Amino acid sequence: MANRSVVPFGPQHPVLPEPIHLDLVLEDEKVVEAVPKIGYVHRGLEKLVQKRDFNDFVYIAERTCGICSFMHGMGYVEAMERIFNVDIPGRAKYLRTIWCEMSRIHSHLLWLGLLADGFGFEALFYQCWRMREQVLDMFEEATGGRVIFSVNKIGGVLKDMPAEMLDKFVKNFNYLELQLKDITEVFLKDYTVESRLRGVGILSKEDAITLGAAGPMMRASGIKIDTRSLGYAAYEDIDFEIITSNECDSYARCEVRIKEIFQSIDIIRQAVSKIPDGELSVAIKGNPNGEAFARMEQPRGEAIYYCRANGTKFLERMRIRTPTFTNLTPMLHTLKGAELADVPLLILTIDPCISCTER
Amino acid sequence: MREDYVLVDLTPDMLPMKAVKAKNNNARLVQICAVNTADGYDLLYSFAEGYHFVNYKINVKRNDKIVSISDIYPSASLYENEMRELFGVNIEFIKLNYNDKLYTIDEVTPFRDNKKEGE
Repeated sequence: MANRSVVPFGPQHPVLPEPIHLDLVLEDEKVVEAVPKIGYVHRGLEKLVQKRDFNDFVYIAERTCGICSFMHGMGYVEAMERIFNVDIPGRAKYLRTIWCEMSRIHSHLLWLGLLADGFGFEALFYQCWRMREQVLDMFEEATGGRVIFSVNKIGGVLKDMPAEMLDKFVKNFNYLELQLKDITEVFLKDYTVESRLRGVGILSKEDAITLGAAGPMMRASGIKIDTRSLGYAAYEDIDFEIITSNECDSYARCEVRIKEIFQSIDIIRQAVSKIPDGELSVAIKGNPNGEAFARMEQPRGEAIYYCRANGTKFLERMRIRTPTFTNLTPMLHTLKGAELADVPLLILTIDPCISCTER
Repeated sequence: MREDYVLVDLTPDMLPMKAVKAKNNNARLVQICAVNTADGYDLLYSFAEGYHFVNYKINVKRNDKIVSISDIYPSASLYENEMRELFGVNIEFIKLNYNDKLYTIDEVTPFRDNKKEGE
């Protein structure tokens, strides 16, 4: 009979930049059960909405996370714009689309770096994060910020990007694409990398639906759903094919994310070629009254924003359902039956953002 | 373009049946959340069948008991633990029950709006 033991994993661990704890029940080296514990850095941001003016709350919403900060701010303002029933100017929609895709590129590069670090390939980690710096430099040039951009407002955006800057960014992304091709070879064709990712952490298509997987985690299980297809911001004018894989393992999750970076660069090119001139925002009058949902595709998957207003300047409720929160259950499923040595990589393959989860 | 979604009022006893129906239709459980009301909570259950987004709103009194849907959707456990711990919603039979220990917080039901009850 196998020896049964419980190994605590986290909240501090080399592969975890943020704290989460798992109790791993092992039979010899095999995981038979995993029980998560979160809440080490819970901030109660959703509760703050009752004490902050609804306009100011944009800045709190984008502080939910330091990686998808732009999209958290955008999700909140999209829900509020729905309550106000306003349509924002076309240029603002395109600018939001470009910033969304830039966020996706830097987030996926960050994840690729962490994954490389997770399986001990430090040079590859350096390359990924060096490339990510180039995206952050562009963010800084366009918005003045590298992590928090504060460019969203209810009714549009606060900053513009002139044509020369957009052209320069397209050239930068063309160069980034060339560099990306080099590291793609390593991630998808290197024997050592494949041996750590192939056939590990299987999440079937049926389980992905039942367990509520989102984003690349879901698409790597063969489910063709990408919230961008709903056409928010300027996505209704953009041509793109949803990237999926039917292999359902850690390798598939890596492959989907890498291909999504190439796709994001293509979307930025399309958006720059189609962006119209015009105003950046429309005026919002009065206080909000009503309730609305907004959905959008963050780098880690579908995020849900719900706002309920009562006609005063303070909202009654603002809810963010982050992709990491919903990906925890599928992650626990992939851990069952895994070897203890694979646990760090399996946790990484959901691209966990504990800051989002502990909103 | 903005997506259309559905928001339907439900009574608590209809919830398990709707959840089973959603599961049979291959719908994903997208989120569950609670909102304070004057005498209790609005509970919002969101399902997505492909891109079709359906939300059920259930109004419950402060001490009403709600049956968990975690037997139907295992991912409901985390949401239900969150609602119970942060808002004090009385949810029974949660499959993975943390007994108010999901979050490492000192305050009891910090999101519950006591002012509306005059507490």
